[in-house]
Amino acid sequence: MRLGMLIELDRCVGCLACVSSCKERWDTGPGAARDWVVTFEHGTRGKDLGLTFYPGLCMQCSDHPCTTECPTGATYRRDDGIVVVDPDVCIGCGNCIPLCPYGARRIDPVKNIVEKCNLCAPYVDRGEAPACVSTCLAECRHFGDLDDPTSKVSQLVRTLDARPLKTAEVDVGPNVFYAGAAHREAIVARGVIQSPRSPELTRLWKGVTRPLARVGVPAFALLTVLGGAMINLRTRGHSQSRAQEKVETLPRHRLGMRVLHWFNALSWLLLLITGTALMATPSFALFGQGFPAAVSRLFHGEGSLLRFHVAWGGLWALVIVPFFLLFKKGGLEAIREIALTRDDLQWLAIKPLVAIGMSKKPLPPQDKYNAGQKAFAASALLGTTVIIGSGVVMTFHLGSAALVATMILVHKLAIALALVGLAVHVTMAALVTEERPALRSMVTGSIDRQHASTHNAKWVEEEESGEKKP
Amino acid sequence: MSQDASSGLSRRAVLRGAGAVTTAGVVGATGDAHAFSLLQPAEAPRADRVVPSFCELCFWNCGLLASVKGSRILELRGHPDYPNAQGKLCGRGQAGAASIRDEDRLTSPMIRVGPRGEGKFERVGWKTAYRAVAQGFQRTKTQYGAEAIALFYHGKGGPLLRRALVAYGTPNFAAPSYAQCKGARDVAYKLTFGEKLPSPEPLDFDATRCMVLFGSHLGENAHNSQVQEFVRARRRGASLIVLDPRLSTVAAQADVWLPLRPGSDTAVLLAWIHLLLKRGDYSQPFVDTHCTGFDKLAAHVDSCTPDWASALSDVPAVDIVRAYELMRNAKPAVLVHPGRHVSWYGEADIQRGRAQAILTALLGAFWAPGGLFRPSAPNVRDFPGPDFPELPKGVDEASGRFPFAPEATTTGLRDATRTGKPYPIKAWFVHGTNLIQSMPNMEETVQAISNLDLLVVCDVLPTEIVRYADIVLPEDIYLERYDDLQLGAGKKPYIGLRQPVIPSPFDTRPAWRIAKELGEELGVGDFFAFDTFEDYLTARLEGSGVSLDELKAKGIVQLEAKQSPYLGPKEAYAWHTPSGKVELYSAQLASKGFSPLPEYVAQPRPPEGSFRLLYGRSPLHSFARTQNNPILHDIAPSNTLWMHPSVATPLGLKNKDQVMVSNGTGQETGPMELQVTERIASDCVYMVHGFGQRAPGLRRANGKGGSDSEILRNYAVDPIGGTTGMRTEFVRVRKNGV
Repeated sequence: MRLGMLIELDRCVGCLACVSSCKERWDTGPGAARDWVVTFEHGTRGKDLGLTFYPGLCMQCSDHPCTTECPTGATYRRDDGIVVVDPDVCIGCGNCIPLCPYGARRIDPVKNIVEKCNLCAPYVDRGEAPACVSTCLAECRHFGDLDDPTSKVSQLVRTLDARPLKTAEVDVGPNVFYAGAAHREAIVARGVIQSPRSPELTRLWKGVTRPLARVGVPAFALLTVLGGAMINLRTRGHSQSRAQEKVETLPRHRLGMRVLHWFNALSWLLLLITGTALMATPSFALFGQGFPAAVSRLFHGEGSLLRFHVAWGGLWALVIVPFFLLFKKGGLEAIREIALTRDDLQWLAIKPLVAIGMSKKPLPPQDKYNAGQKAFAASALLGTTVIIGSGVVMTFHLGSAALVATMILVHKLAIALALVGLAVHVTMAALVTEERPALRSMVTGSIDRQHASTHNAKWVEEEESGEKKP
Repeated sequence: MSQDASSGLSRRAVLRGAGAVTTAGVVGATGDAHAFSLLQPAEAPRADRVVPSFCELCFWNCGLLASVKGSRILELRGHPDYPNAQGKLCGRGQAGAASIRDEDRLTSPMIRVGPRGEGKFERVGWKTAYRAVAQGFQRTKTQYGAEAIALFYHGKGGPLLRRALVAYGTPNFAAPSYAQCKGARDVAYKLTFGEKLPSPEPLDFDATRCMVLFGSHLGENAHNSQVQEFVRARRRGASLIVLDPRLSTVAAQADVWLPLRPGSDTAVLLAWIHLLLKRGDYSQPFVDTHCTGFDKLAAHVDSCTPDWASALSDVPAVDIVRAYELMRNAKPAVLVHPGRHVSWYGEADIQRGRAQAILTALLGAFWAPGGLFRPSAPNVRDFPGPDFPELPKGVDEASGRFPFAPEATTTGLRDATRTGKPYPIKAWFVHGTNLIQSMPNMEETVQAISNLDLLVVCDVLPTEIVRYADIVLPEDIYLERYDDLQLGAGKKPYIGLRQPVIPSPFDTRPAWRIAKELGEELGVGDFFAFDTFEDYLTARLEGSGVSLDELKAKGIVQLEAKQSPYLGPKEAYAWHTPSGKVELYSAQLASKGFSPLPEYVAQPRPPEGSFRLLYGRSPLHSFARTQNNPILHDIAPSNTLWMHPSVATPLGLKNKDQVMVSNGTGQETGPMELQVTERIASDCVYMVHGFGQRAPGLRRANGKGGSDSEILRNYAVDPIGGTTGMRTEFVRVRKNGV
């Protein structure tokens, strides 16, 4: 099935009833009409002066280049040939706009999504004709299945020798046919057909960011894991002997903090999986299309997958943002806790070497969180802020299409940054045996005192002097 | 204006509200940004009821079917049973529901507080407003007589308001649809055939083989059924002749386009009549049976050869003859369009109309298949009431002007208000017409208003005339109200009903209710002896064979015609002229000192550096009524000034320049965009009428584009019928800011 349209250019009287009925039906915002009638004048008065009306709309192309660079998969071609934009999934980035040779896609400044003709798909599904067809005063529009040779529209295409608007350079298989050769040629001669152009940001994504995301981040994570394994090899004997000793503990993480940590971890896992799966279009897919397709199926469709991603992202933000802001004396206390000291800088310089046995220098004493944890927290804080901010922009379509499009990239870059930190964090906590007490403390709330006084000497000192004071 | 502009109940506003609540302000900042359908209405909602009514975006009065869900109109479609809709609505009609959510609407009665014209009002209740109107009218009546009150009206609500004011004692009521629109053709056809043409015109497109259009805007003026029928006729192979100095939509599709000099149509018509008579191609049976004055006509057109017409019209004689041959080959199925907006040059319009009527008669195309058919109107009684009082003479009659005008003229009322002659007019009731734009020479209108003791305006939007009002009465939008019955004339007569589709969300009222309640306040309540409008309609429908319930359910009931739409070959018919014949020679005109046979009246050429101002239509706008409609404004927000490249270039003007257009006597309009185009003759400029409004209350339309009315100072009054020629102004064009 290939639904399409035929327009008789010889009959059009330019009354614009089609444009008006479409605007009324689809409530498109100012300047975002889904169809148009342009008047072209040609020739000279007294000789060959003439008029051509160009009633245009989405040509429902068989090749549909417009769908290839949609970051959310909101636009796609249905099995019946109609190219649609799912208004629930479109985030209004406008990536698809320069990809349409006919200029049939526009940003709706009120809804902040992309408007385009969908041949009134929901109405067609219930057996009605597109609004512009049933309203055409000149009855010059015909709608139907172009694959069915017996349909009225197919017959008319043959008898009227109707053809789509295309050029030798640009032919993406349009399925709107125009009858009236002279008018058709006049329209094409006006240069109404443009080569599809990829938007700058998509090119940047494909050329730089995606290789980084595909190779850079995984490679760094792999290196980190290898590093962790090396540490374990070096410190094997030591930790075994420690296991025999009786353990004295210090309270370290309160219950709320622990719950928050694991909620945060779960959120990252879910959002990473769903977010990666949402990058479904070939231009955006990170690891092929099998994964997005599988996850989409799990969620019964891309729409609900996106809704889950957005809803969980919203929940995540609603939990961690107030918690961070209300934490102790507000965010400032948290920032003080993770501020780097001179000791920390030194620690950062020596620690990696010490960890893999390249150096035997003593490590400078550390606060409650060591410098590595602090650095990770800082990157997590920055990353999270940017991720939530860009997510809000995309969810609510704040600002211009260009801003939304930029935020897609920013969202991903922030995730990449956070992932780099996360790789170290997870490796240290989960893989490195020496740090096991720290991981355990995030479950039980208390930490091995001996471990703490080695790793967080300043904190232990502070805690104990604090205990004595009252 | 003191009214609350933010109370419009738009879909978007409702959504905005919902958004702000649901997402705690995050969404509020962005208007209606949606969050993944959580706040979006479902796509393609289904209606819970369909209400039939008819449209009022223009006065073609197309039947419609409104799909409604709750109190929201989802869609307006054309009524399949209405002959003037045929299941479709034009671009304007489709956008009708948007006029309900126009946030600039008048929402409550208002009384002026500042100086007149400043546009400052305070909201009042209806009772207070009625009382103020009645007191004002009473003062006028006491001091000057009831005839000093004038009613200007346009639309279905008018007749009931007229009932109230005529009962009160004034003979002075007029609609711009006569003097500023189709009056001259009605007079010309009445003089010739004894019949005034109804609206829509009884044109037999279904059977025509040749169509002749004069300055037609078909397509650009989306007269719904006529556009549909025109296209079908072309599809069927009917030929097309168009006379127009401008390459209009139909001119571009014509077999013969005659781009004649403005105002020379009558010369071409006389040449065609000359050829018909000389070559013996006229319909002898029709002439012999029905016409009078043939010999005088023959003598009159003896010298009107195609070469003679060619010299006057600047179109080649061969084209005149080529067009003639298309007509001759198609006769009698030739549709000579009588035109609709024909107030172009004053008296010359009657001459042209007479020539069109005579051409139709000679082709045997009157009441004939493919020409003009004989319309049948339904027979419905008036609402019963007391006898109307004896009325004094109306202003035109009292001053002995316009002997063939069938009704008073807007310009006559304005003249009397300005000059006090033949007697003063001191109070106006203006319903549904923005006289600032709908009448030529704004200055005279404003001057007349300054002489008034009271100006009452009843409208739906704060148009320009509202600014000058003393009292404003806000009317329901047509989708919110009942109106009087639509009595349609056609091949089959019909009765149509306008009924409320949804209730008005504001303190507005329908015209019938305003007429009744104001009538009661004026002491003529006896003329409105009904409680509900259903009672009124039921009383009128009595004896018609149609019930109100049936009308409410169907929207329209078609009746059987009592006569054939065509004149039978042997049918004896007493034409409603003094002679009982079709008057090719008009003794009536001769008796009043006018030319009894159509004369070609040459129009002056514009002086060096000036252009004749022509104006026309956009398919998405009606007069100056629709420019603020949210949808129509978005598709067609402004107009342009058309100018031929051969004159634009020497003036240093380029396409898309912003220009000012002035008339040399102080009035200027614009800035508006210049459209350099071959489509207009080099001695004319052209713009779409209705733009360039100066009404701050219309926040979309205000100040967009240029207004022909603003610079149309020199209009030509036809002494025969009193209509105003308005293609008579010469203008200059300059670049804005230079």
